[in-house]
Amino acid sequence: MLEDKLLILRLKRGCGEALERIYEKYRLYLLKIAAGLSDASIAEDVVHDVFVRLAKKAETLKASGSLKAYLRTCVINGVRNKVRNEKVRSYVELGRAGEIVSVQSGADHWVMLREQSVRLHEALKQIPFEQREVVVLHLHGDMRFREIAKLQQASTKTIQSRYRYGLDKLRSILNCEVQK
Amino acid sequence: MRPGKDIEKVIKQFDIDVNRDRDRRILDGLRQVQAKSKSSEHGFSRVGIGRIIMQSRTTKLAIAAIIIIAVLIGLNPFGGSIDGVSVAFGDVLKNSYKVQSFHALLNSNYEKCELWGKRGNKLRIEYSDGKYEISNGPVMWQVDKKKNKAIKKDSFYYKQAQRKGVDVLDYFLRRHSSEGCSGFFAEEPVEQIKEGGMLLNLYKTELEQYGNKISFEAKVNAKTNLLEYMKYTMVDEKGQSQISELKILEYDATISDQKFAFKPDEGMDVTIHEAKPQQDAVASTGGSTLSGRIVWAKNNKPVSEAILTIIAGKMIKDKNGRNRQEFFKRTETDRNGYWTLSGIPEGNVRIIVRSWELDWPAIPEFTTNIGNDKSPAIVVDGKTKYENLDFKVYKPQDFFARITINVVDENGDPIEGVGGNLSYVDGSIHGHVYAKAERQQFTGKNGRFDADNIWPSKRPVKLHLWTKGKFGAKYATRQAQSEPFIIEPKGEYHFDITLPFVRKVKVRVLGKDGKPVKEVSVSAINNSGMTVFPFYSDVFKGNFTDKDGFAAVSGLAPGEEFFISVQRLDSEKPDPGKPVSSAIFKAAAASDKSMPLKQVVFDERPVRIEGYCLLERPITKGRVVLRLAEIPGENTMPYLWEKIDESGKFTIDGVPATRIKLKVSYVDKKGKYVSVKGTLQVSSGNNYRVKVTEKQIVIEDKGNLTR
Repeated sequence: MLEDKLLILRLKRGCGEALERIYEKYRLYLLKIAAGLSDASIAEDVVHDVFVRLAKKAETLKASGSLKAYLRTCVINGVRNKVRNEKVRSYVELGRAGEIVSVQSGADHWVMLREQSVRLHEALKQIPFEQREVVVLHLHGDMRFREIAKLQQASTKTIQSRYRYGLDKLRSILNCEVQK
Repeated sequence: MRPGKDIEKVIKQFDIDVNRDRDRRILDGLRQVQAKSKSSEHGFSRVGIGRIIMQSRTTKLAIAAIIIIAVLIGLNPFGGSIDGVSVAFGDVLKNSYKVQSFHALLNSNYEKCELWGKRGNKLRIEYSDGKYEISNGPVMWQVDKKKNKAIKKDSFYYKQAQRKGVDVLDYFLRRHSSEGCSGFFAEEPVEQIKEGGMLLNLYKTELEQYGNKISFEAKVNAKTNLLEYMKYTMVDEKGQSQISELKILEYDATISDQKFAFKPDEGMDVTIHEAKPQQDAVASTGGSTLSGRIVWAKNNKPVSEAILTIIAGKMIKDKNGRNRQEFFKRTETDRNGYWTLSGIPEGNVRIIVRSWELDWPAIPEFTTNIGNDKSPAIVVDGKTKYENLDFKVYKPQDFFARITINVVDENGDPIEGVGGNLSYVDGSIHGHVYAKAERQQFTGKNGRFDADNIWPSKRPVKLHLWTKGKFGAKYATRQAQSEPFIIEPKGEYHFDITLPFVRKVKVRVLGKDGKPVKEVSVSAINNSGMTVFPFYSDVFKGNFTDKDGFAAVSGLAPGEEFFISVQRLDSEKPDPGKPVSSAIFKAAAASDKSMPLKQVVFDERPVRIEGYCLLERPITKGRVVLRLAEIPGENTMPYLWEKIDESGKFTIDGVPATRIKLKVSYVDKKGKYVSVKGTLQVSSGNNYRVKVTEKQIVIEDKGNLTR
């Protein structure tokens, strides 16, 4: 959008106000995607790194590109790297979700999951990463299936299947919790 | 009950908050990082055009000048002329066409350089550290004598000048070095002074913006109306200052062409950057012509050199595979504020007038048949001339309206955490009720908020309230909206609101035998077909009757009429979107705070609809949606839905025994969505076979279900 292009131009010229506007505009969006794909601490690190790189290397931004897509891609790549490096698969039973809320809402944490999101967050972590990525990027990242297909280097049909399977799995995880 | 799309809705509810203190510290840290990277070594490294441009001192001045020019509008309008020869600052800059050359000194944040410009697209900039730039026609050299390096590339100055249709000399002197900048040059000088033997018109202003204190000063020769001196100073909230100062030493001196020539010395490290192909907007032949005028709202004075961006035409893929509209061009207003642009293809046209250094809104005076005041758009036919597409420009202090609200509950106690949205009467969003510090503001402990940067509206809007936390859990906010009103520029609007508590209804479900029915799902559906209870986040928890057949529904407004939906879910796969049997009952919430009891008799005999479509095969993206006929309207939420397989068959179980509306939709051979509708009356314990043709849906057969 034009506002983003203007912000990029201003940012490339070292405008602090532009950096602040970009930060305010996109940090929640990026944190939500990152938190949906991983856990809060990884999300914080990844998004923080993205903004630090933006502040340092604004001159490498292309004024013709989409700022939102650029930031989102940075976050997605960052999360993937972290998740693959750490091989984090935090399998937490839904019953322990209350603990996690209190840990994450400590004074030092940037991201705080809303209470009703904790269970969903834990359920998301129980589905395969590729499915989680498709679900989160489609429903929270505003990405279309063909864009996600390009990202995951798969066909659109595969992405749609991953999405469907992801939703089915989530539904059954959450239903099991209901039944408990 | 809700279909399988509920899981998507539940996932969309995933949300986070941020720790505000930590948020602020992170932002402070980012600013420091940015400041450090700005102060690190500049110059002639082997990077792309973009980077060099950013680090060029000249560009810094250009940026400062843009800010200066925009800020100038903060001057108190002078109104008249000084000694009969003063002109608006925009016209001063345009006087550059009179000169053939210039020689100047530039001081940018205490780094000094000397500049020469000559008509014929020639420019030379020498920095105090021995580096220099020479731009001669389309080619530019950046030279670092100390490091014995030189880079040859396309001239940024030439490119920008060509876009404006001017010489590089004009481009530089006018400081229009950035895309998207619109300088509003209608202002005139504040006084006349004598300095250095010259009579000078002084342009001056001071302004505070986004925490920065900005002061600007320009001196213009009253006789020649040429710029002699310009100084811009900005001090940010931390006391750090930026300064940019340009002093013209001489106009029209004889400057040899040799000054603008360069040949690398032997042994010099030379890098040549390949010329990039021109990326022009898609040119169109013929097309519509659009024209209009831009004036200041306050005094109707023309806005000259405002930049308009026109985006039009059909969507195409650019070289990076991204979708964009085929037509993208810019134009400027002339000294009388007029603009025109031709060759615009048929379709939707967006017109954007902006000043990107200061956010000054330009409001269309013409009727936008699509789009809105912030992003005005019209539809053109690709042939006709469209005239009088006029805009009025407002300074922020003359523009933004103010909304204050005071919210209490039914006991008169203030409610904290209430936010507001503004939407047009047709439902499209006008915007959130913004506040300065944050994007969304909520009422504080005193139940009030005060938002003073509300965008005016040309069409009526309504203010809708909502509360933090579970939507509708405590207060009945769904109906909390104002009467339509138009937001005038600088208007002030105050709302005193009493938000009622939600009302609850106790439901008792009995079977046909009069005995209580336990473990059936009970929900409340409003007059739009939307499930208002249980809340989205609790959909999978459900709301089930106890052993005595009791359950309660909440989230209702006082006196609200609604439907109770009772469903038996499959215990093996309890999907609220796919019940085994269901029934619908009308009910109403109490106007007072009481909780009435609604007793219903649930006939659990299932109803099934099996359909087949006599439509062209294969059926693509076919689906059948079931709505309750008692809820009027075409766009109410569906009660049940199912996919139609490629052979055209579908089955819907758990249909409520009532009058229902079915809608079958699919994609036809031409790729268009087509739908067929029908209304049926169904009763418990029956299996219905329906036939769907291109024109209707009819019951073909009915029989008892055996399970």
